[in-house]
Amino acid sequence: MIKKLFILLILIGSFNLSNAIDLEVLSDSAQVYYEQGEYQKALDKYNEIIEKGYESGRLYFNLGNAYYKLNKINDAILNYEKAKILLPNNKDIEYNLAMAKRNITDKIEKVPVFFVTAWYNSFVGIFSTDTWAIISMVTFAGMLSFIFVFFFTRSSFFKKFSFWLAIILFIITSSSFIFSSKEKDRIETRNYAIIFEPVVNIKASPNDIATDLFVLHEGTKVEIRQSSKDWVEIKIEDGSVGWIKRDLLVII
Amino acid sequence: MKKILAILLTIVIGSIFAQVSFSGVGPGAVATNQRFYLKYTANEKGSNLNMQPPSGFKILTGPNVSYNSSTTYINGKVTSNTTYTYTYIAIVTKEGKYTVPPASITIGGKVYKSNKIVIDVVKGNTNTNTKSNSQNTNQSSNISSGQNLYARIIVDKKSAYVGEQITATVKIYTKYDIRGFQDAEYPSWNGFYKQDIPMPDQISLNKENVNGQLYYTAVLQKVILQAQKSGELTITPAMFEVVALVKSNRRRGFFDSGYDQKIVRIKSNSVKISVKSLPPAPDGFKGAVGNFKLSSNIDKNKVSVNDAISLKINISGSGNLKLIDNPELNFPPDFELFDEAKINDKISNSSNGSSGYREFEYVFAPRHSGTYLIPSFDFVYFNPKLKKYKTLQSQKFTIEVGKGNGDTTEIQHVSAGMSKEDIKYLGKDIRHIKIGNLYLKKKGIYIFGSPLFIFVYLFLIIIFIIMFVIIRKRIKDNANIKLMRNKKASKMAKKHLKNANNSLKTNNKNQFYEDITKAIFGYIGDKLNIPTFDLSKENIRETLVSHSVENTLIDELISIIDTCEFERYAPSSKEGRLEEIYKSAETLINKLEKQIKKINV
Repeated sequence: MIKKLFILLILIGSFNLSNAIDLEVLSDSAQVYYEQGEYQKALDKYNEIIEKGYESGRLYFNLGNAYYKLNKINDAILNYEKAKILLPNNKDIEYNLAMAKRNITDKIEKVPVFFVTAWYNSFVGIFSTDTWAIISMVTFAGMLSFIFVFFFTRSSFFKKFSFWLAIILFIITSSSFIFSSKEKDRIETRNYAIIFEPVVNIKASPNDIATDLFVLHEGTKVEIRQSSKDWVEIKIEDGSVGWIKRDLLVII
Repeated sequence: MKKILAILLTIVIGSIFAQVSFSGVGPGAVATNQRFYLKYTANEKGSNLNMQPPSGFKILTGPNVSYNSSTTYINGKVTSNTTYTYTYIAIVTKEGKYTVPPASITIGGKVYKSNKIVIDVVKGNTNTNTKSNSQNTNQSSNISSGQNLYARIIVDKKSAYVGEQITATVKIYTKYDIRGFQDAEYPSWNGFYKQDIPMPDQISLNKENVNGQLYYTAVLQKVILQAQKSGELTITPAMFEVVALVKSNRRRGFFDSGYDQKIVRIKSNSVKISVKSLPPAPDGFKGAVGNFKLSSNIDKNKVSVNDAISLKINISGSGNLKLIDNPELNFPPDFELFDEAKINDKISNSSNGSSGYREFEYVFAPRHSGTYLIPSFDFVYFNPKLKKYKTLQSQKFTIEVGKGNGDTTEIQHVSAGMSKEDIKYLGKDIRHIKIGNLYLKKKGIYIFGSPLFIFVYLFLIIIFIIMFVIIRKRIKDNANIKLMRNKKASKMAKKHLKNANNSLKTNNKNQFYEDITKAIFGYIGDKLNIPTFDLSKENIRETLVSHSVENTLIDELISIIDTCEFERYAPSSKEGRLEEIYKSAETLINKLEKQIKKINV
């Protein structure tokens, strides 16, 4: 029984190892293809990585670049947005996204974000959800040990020192706990989408005969508010709201 | 008929080239026994005109010399034009094709030769007039665009490549005397890029032999066409109204010339041209079709900083020169290009297509010293005759840029920090992909909320609680031990004192002192919780002082310990002292017990 378990463990281990090597080969060859200008081949390799169930901000960024070079602007924007979700403060992604957005038709006035919110977002975005989680765990352990010291030391200096340190660590651990949870939520709730239809009429209600409210063009990013079976209610960056058929969108 | 001859040929000789030109013109086709002109023109006065008429030619008069000079003054440019015309009038009696060999003339001591003149002579009649008159009488009532009056669009090729030059001519053929044209509707040339070939202001009539019949012909329009797309393109017919003079049926009055003016509407044929698309184009092909030559030159290749250099690229030949774009030359970024390329055209349209040259001139100045290379550029064109793409390459130029005479100024500039430049942005593109590790991660797996995460938190909390409980218990236990020792202290002391008493009775001095010492040390050790190995006189004194025990008591205690130690290692023989010491030790412990107890409470 133990022997079988052991073999199983080895199998799982070797499978993971070979998988990692596979991924490395894929991403290396994709990079070479990209640099040689064979964007379609690079694209296929990157997509293969995604099919294996892996992702990263850098991967989506590279994928977006390949789509951009093939002049598939919608897909490029979609992948840059995906990359931006995973790496919110990356300047390269912002730059290339802006380059890609120059090719789309719709220019929507953005409602400016309150500066404190912007600061908060960029601060939370410094680390990924996993990093925040690890910080939270480590500082929690630190806090407990200082509480320990506080209770059992005889020196009054150490008592004071550990008391304040424990309080600071408590603040850090709880806030990074919250950040980690928020980041995870942000990544998991995919409520933005890109329009993939050249020209779309946005309707007042989820119905083909409803009034046309406004027109959007491909490549535009919209927020999804709610959805019925075939229709979704969207909101664009200037705050306008309307309904669009679900299959004209691709969720980021 | 003579009137037609009178409309003959107004010849314009361009004085574009300040060279001697000498050429001859004949009527093309004539009828037998009809007088015609042979004209030779030169732009300078010559002598010794020598023309050898072929046999069968009868020169009636000639050469008659006429002189014509004009001076034009346009925008400060003076152009003078001189023409000497030598005219022969000749007649031919037998039909056939005659070639007048080149005539020669001496101008300024040099002999120039003209072109050959070919004349087609058709069978005419000595009484042409009467015959044609009767013909006209027959047809005058129903004159129409039939055999005697028609128009044609003539193209030099019926199939061509896209962009290849085609010459198209709209020509009218007539046997009547023609007064003029009106309401001309020219073909629409759909699908072609059209360039007009300049025509004389006055339409001239020529004679031409068409299948043995003599027609007067007039060219109304002549164009160079270049197809813009492949497929079968149709040139729509041209339409005009012709004012013809027709012999009238009426009885002639005295002033009546005997001719009526009739307006006839005629329509030409339409022409279909099949346009072949070009074979797959190589890189750099931008639509040039024809036969070209390329030359490039630079006015200097050793300059100093900020000197202007002019680079010329000349593309000459025949073809769609006007559609040739600026060549894309890659100048070094440190060169300042003063303007877009200046285009200098000398393109003339003629029946042979448009030809000439197009010259691109770039003027630029280097801004820094050094050696620079202006790379060559490839000019790709399609040669429809060879049915192949051809590539011409311009020359590469190396330019040496010296420091310039303003050496000192440049140095000053450097020291003043003036020669700094903004970074030049040559283009815009997305940033490159992320190289190397992509930090891939399984999708949808996060540490937060994962079993590991919860486990770590729980584990830490449990460890903390366990540790806390254990340490607390140990501290408690420690405290208990102290209490026990405290409680036991006097009991133990009493036990030791009892032993001492026994030793006293057995007169075992050594044992006695040992027991007394044990009793005192043990008591203090237990009572004040001092480990046995730490017990010393100094230590005891300190601890007792800190417990604020009276000094006299401490002194007494120390003196007893001293005595005991002294007696143990250097015994004296005094016996009575033993009891005394025992008593004082007993009272001392009792006093200590009281004092320490007080403090503890």
